[in-house]
Amino acid sequence: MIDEALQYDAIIVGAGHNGLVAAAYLAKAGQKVVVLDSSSYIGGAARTAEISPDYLVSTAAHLISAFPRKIEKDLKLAKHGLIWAVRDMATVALDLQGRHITLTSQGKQDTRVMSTHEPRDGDTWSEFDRQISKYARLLGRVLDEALPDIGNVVSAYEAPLAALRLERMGSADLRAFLRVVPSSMAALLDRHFEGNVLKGALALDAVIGHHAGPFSPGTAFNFIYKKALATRGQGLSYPVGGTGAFAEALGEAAETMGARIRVDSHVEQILIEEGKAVGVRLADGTQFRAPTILSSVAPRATCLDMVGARHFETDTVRHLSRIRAKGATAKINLALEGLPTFENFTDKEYGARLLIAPDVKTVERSFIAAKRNELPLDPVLEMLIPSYHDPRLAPMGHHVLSIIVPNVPYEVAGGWDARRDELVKKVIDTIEQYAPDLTSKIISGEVLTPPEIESKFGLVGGHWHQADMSFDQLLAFRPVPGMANYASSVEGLYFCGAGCHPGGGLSGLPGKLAAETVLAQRKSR
Amino acid sequence: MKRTDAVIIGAGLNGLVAAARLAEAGVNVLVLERSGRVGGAHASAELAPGFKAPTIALSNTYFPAELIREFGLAQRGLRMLRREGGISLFGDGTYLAGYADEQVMRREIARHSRRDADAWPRFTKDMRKQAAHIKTLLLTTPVDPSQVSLSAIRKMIGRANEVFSKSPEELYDLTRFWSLSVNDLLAQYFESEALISHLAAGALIGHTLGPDDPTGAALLAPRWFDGDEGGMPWRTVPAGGMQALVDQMADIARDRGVDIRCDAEVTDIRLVKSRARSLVLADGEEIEAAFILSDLDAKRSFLNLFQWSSLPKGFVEDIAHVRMEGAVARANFALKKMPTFSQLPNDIPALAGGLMIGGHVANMARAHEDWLDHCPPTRPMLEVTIPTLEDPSLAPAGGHIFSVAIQFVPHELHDGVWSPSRRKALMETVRKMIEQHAPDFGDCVIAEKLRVPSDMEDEMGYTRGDLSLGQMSLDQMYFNRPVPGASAYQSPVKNFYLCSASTHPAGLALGASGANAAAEILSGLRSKRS
Repeated sequence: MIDEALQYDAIIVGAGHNGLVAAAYLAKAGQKVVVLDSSSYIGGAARTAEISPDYLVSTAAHLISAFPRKIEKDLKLAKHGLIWAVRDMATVALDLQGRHITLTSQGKQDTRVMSTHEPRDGDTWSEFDRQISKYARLLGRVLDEALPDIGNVVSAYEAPLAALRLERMGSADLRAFLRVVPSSMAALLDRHFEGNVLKGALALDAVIGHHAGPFSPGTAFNFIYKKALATRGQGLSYPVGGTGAFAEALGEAAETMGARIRVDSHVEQILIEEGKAVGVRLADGTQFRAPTILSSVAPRATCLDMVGARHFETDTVRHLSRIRAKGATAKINLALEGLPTFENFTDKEYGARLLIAPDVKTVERSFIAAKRNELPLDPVLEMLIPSYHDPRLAPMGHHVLSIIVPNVPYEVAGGWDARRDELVKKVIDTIEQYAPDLTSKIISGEVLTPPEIESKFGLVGGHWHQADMSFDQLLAFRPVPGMANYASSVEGLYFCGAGCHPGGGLSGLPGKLAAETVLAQRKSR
Repeated sequence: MKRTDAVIIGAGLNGLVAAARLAEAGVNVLVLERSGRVGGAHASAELAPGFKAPTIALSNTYFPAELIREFGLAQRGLRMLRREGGISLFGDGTYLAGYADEQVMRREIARHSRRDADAWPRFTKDMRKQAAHIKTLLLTTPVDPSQVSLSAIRKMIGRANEVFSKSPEELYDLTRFWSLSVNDLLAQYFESEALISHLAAGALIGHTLGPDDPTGAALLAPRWFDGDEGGMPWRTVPAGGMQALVDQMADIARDRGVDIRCDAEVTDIRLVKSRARSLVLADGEEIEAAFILSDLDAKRSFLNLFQWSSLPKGFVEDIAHVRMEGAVARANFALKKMPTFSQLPNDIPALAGGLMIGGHVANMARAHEDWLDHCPPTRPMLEVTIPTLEDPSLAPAGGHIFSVAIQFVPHELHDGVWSPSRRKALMETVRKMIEQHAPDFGDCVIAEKLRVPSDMEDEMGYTRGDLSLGQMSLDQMYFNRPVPGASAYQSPVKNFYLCSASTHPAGLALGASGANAAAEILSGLRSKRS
């Protein structure tokens, strides 16, 4: 007999931010919801934890760029403790000569420094920015709606068509757009700019989190897609208390609305009876029952490991098993006894997102190294000093430095145990080219290799987006054709994680759209 | 001043096809060729007494059957041969041979993987389908989507919707085909490294994409243009080599009244009120023409023949940004006899289809990455064609020609040009790679000739040695070729047309650019008359 208390309207597997968003929306609509997570905390990759006593940092994801204002309001997150420490954070492309280029997140770009690198770049920036923003708005319009399934996928293009008119895309814009979409980021940048530092930073932005280099065709589209997702959000933002605090606010919102969240509850099996999903079984044997299961775990693992291949058609199994998720990333977090001295930094730059990518070729080489299961000779980096905005993260005057190292292989030649220190040394050496006193400030640190990100956050392959965001794995093909509308082919089983439309990044959109799909289907029944 | 209806700059295959088509419609055509002979890349040259070898053109080419019919080439005695087979040799002593017959091919694949032998029919079916889609577009002018009305787009979408709603998988297949890398697409069918490498090498030769570059998968399909019987498709090649085809086309053009002048270099095009009006030759002669067509690449056509100030500013920049970069060098060897390939059975028929010596896909990726960094190749991909197997008359009795495409070879090296010692080292690399499989190869060589991309630029006028006249990546294909807004063979200069492979369909079909450009001009004339 199933305990009455374990009977729900909906079970959500995984308390990552998408799972929590889905739970909150469902609970808000009056559903009895339980969220189950295998780890002992909520938030998944949105987590704040100690590097060492008294030094807190967002362990994995450290910035939020695409989280819609609408979700924040719907779930009353401000009331549940979400405070933005900074919105519209600027990005600084570091230059070895100290002529750092600051890129604003919103509003007018100051192009004077660009022009000191290459006089032409300052002039061409506004045209580049106008074009990209236009494409991003165009694409952005389809990202916060659930897509029709592949059978009607073509009608999905109705939306962009209407947007085309709204954006007043003239024939010149359309021509440029159709060339940009299949382009490599390198080709797009070559058409507009000459300065290495500017090009390097933009190239890094296009490929970070992807298994691609700037010379890979399609990376210009990755860049636009990222910008399009950002149009749904509120500028590059950092919450007080780090991304973990953001997850806490979501959790509190969900609980206030009536959802139950249970950590240390590892879902081993999704139960199927007569072809329908009816509940889950935990590793300890406990069973929860519900007519609706939403999984924020990667779709392949959900279907093939938790449900079992026999419940799906052969074609679906083939599609699921060939989902590519190769774009792995490492994370290094350092506790510092003071701000490192970056050459030519004013106060403002310390509060920005910092990019180290001296030129396009260096970004490409880091990808080539990753392809060969090697460490990059010169790593490219995205860094943040969150304690600059959020002093409570570290003792007075002390700081934490959060470093994302893209293009790191999941399996490195020689094994991670042997090469972890080498990666750290390479990264610190690279930063010291810009901030020579970094080492002298380090108190302690932690490094998360892709396998560790996998085991710690349940992200298969250490991939932050659950699956590469390439043409064939986006929109109506995410996670696989036939399941793009959040419903799997098994009745009652839904997806609500980054592995479905519109993909990764802390946007909450997969969770929201999945919950809305469930509610709409319930109503129509 | 001499006056004529149309002048075509360059007597390459596209120029000759355009000339013949225009002349058929009654247009007076003059073809001006800088060198002393017609054919451009397809011309052959004597390598050693009695040895005639193709100079630079690639062997993985397709000449549309429609054009063979249109010009009655068969009736004029041009014989087209089926070139079957093709063998990949691997360093570990294994090999994979191609066969036209489905059962034989599957048996060959089964030596490497039984599972792959089972997957083969599914793969060929998909390739055949995609190849058929592309083929319908080869002899048509690209549709410029920016010129299509919203309601027409809506109608197209409606039609597509009908197709795809019946078989949703089609759209997914199409998307994967156009967006995946060669390696990723093949990995969705096959597990055998040998088979994947064999197919990947065939697709990548002549192109500048690496096996891991997204959008490369589409390069697999052209292999299926000519036809197949379920095994490895064959290629249709003219008996006597491409030179024979070129000679026939020149004869046809002359028969139709076309004047072909060799040793005539055009140096300048003069405009009157932004219309192309006349050409100036190197010797100072000026010729007036109603139409000027260029069979040169886009950069040479616009950036060399015009005053930049006479072209719209954005257009000059667009043309300057067309990515052209050579990746193939060619080494021709005259051999006194056929060397012995130790790992192959004697007289293996698939040898007629040539040899691929490039190792596995990971190796191709490395060769490509070296090329991006302008490094000399250490382990290039080699495609060895042996034209004497199908046409012994190209060499003295018993002799053979090995024509080797070497990829990826950069136009210039990061530390300078292709110096004589660098060239020697490259030839040594090639020789060693072949000798690894045929130890007596070196002893058979009586003459050799290497052309690196910069030689192709200097001798034949290919910008940066790019034999595709513009990289064939999606952002430079179809309506984006040569640049958006000029894909209908016309240009901002009235009466000036491009008919080279810098336009659609690039290297996918020989002669098609010329045929399409001529068709555009003729339809313009017709609509003017009516």
